[in-house]
Amino acid sequence: MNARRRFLEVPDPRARDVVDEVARLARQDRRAQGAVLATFRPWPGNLSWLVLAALLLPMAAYAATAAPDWEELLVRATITAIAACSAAVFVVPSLFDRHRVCEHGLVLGFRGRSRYVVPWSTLDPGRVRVVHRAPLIGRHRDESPSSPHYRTGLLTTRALAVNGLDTAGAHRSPFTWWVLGTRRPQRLAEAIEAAMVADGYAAQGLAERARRQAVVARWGRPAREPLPERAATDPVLGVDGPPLP
Amino acid sequence: MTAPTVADVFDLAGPASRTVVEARLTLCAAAVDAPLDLGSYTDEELVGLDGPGGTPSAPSPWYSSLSEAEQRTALTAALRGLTARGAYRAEPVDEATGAFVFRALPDVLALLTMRRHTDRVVVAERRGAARCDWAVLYQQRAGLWLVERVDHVGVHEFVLCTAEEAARALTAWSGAHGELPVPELDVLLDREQVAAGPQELEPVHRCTLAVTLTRLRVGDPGAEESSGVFTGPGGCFVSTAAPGGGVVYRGASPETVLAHWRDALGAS
Repeated sequence: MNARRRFLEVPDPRARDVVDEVARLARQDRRAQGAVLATFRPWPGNLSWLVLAALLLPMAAYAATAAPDWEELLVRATITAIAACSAAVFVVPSLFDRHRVCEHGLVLGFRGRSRYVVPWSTLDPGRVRVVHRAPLIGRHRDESPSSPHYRTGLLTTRALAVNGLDTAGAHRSPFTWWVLGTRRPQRLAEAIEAAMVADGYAAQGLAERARRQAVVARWGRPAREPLPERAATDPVLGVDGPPLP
Repeated sequence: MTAPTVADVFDLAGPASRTVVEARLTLCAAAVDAPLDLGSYTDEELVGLDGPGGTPSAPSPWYSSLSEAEQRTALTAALRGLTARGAYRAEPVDEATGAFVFRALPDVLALLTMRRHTDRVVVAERRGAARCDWAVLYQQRAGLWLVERVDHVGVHEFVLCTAEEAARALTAWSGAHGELPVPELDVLLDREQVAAGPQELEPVHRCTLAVTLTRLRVGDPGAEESSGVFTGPGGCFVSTAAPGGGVVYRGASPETVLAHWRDALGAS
């Protein structure tokens, strides 16, 4: 399929209309991204579910066994309920935070009218990466782990990192890495690829490239920057471009 | 192990470097959604970064009150402070003449170029009972304005925002808020009558804040326009130039003051 649409590139930041174009894209809201094609959530990974089950199920089983009197039954049930509510605190954010793959871009965040939008023209299909042990990625970057760019929930272990327009407050460049936690980052990459191709962008092979460029975030200092920044004037790498370091 | 230098940590850039233009683009992209605070600087820091001897774009009340020798000391001290904070570094080029080039944080240089590279400037001077301060606004691309507020001791605060956000902030800065009554005044006076302090302007003279707005087009001194916003417990007044050289004074609601600011900034 031939690509009909061009990606945003800033070969000369002195060009007068560049600021207008970047500002126009940054002003786009959810409605400009079109219909939602697929929704992903930073749902807890298998290991997180296992840990939660290992904590809660014995308590629930104990509470359910025959108690000597109703008072003890009440105490056991209350303790189990408190433990379940505590666990829910970690799970509930995953329920509300959503990565919406739309016709013309990503809409990220809790609310349907979220301001965090990433139009396809700013998403570089070459700068995509599946991230394992995603919560550790914040240790290696010059950005607070509570930054809105990390949308990994609290118990998600895998994510898809994509580089696109920074609509959450740019720092060094109009482009930034969005780390989107999900149990199935490959499926998210496939959904993004399909939507971008359908919208006319040269993104065939994006999902495969994300898999090929997978990275495991580590506790200690990594040998290389897991998510190298894209400066304002850096060109789009594209699916067939040089691999990320 | 080699310890990193200040330049490694803070990535200083030369004033004409591409990084500065990139930083300006990044700041504009970040400011379209919400006002972006670009920090505060003192008179002497800004004069030092701009280079003394140039045409100042905003008042420097503290710096300009100093003698020439004091100004030299203040400039040196300001640049030493910026160097210690890692925001500025001078590199000598010629020991004999004292010529040097400097590098500074790209964000700081981007701010300075935003003040210089503009077509339209609005200068507002606010006079109260005992003090005077200023707001200088510089038009940028994409409907954005750089707002520089200068207080009476010479601290300059910078915010990059849309025309609408700037108009709202400056309406509040002018002292216009929702609880004020709307005075009934609508007079046209010529300049001599205004200077004589006529009875009709008594309520205007009782105002506690007087803001003078001057709209300038860079490179076109003939296009200068002036107007005034006066506020006090009795309400708000707006004065505008009338065709033929007169001045119109009108009682205004806070919404009218907001509309006046919107008009000054070209906000729809």
